[in-house]
Amino acid sequence: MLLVSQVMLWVAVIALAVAVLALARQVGVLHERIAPVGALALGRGPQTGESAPRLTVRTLAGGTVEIGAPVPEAPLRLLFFVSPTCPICKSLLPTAKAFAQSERLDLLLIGDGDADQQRQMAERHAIALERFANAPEVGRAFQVAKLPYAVLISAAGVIVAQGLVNSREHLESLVTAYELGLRSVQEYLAKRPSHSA
Amino acid sequence: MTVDPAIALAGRLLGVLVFAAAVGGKIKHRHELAGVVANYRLLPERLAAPAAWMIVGLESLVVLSLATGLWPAAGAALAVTLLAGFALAMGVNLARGRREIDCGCFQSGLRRRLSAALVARNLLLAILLLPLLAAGAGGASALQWVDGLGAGLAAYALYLALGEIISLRHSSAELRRRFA
Repeated sequence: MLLVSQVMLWVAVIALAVAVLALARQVGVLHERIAPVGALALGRGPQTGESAPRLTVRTLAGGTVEIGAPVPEAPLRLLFFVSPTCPICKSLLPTAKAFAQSERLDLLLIGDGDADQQRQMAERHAIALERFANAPEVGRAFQVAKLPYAVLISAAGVIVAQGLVNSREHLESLVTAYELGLRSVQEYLAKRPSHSA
Repeated sequence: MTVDPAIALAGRLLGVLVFAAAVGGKIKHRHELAGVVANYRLLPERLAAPAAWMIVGLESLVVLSLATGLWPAAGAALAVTLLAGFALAMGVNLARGRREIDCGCFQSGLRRRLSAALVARNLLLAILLLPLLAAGAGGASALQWVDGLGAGLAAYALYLALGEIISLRHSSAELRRRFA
């Protein structure tokens, strides 16, 4: 008798524990759904709409590239901040490359750290060394605190969109924000008509 | 001091489930494993991959020992050492201010940042496994089997729930910041 009642009690306890686990997971899923599907602007450093800081950087190939200078009729330039020690950067690199090609963006990767590791990273993902600069000063100028971070700069040298990117959807949101004339996903969410009525 | 067989059984089952899930998660995410270990910045970069696989090997030994009951004290000692070691590695990185790195828990698809709560969870788990060190080889009665397996399963479900709640705390803090 004792054995039977013990079995029933444990079944009840385990069922309750599993129910708590399921509820906690469900709340987590809800949080995921609310998460913005756009690049998250971090609100520090040069803001969208302002001129980009002007810098000249040396690429891994040895040449120099000027950032922030107005170049009439140049394509939009996408600065993509990466690091060899950031796993998401590596998985996002092929996406960024394909995205830049399809949107006809001028992709420039900005690294911060060991030049040899970055060269390996560029080789592994078949990125031209002229498109990759090891320049910590750029990250400082744009006050990039989290990676992978992307900044879209217009031909006039103005920052048209920027933010933390984790997926192709986030990268696309930068170009969409530019086309819609919005500054960030936060601004989009704020302007979105409420459906609560 | 002898430990009640029901407590020993519960600890063994909890240990087997926790470490088997850890091994499974690491094998599933094997491509990121070395990167995650390297991000802890406790070892030279070239040792990260061997160290990652050594951890997987040691965790598998824990599962084998606790599941079969062979050298249970050695298995339990290894489990407690690993848990304390992970807690220490997380603690060192928290002290360095590197709380944004992935903990390497691999329990769900989500990245999970380091936090003091995770360190505490590891230490709590280590304490729950401590009685195994003193467990004798005494036979368990049917009632003790029921109690042991029931408590082990319930403890594992609660352990998973605790992990979820720890990551919820972080994501709800982010939401509050966004909608503030």
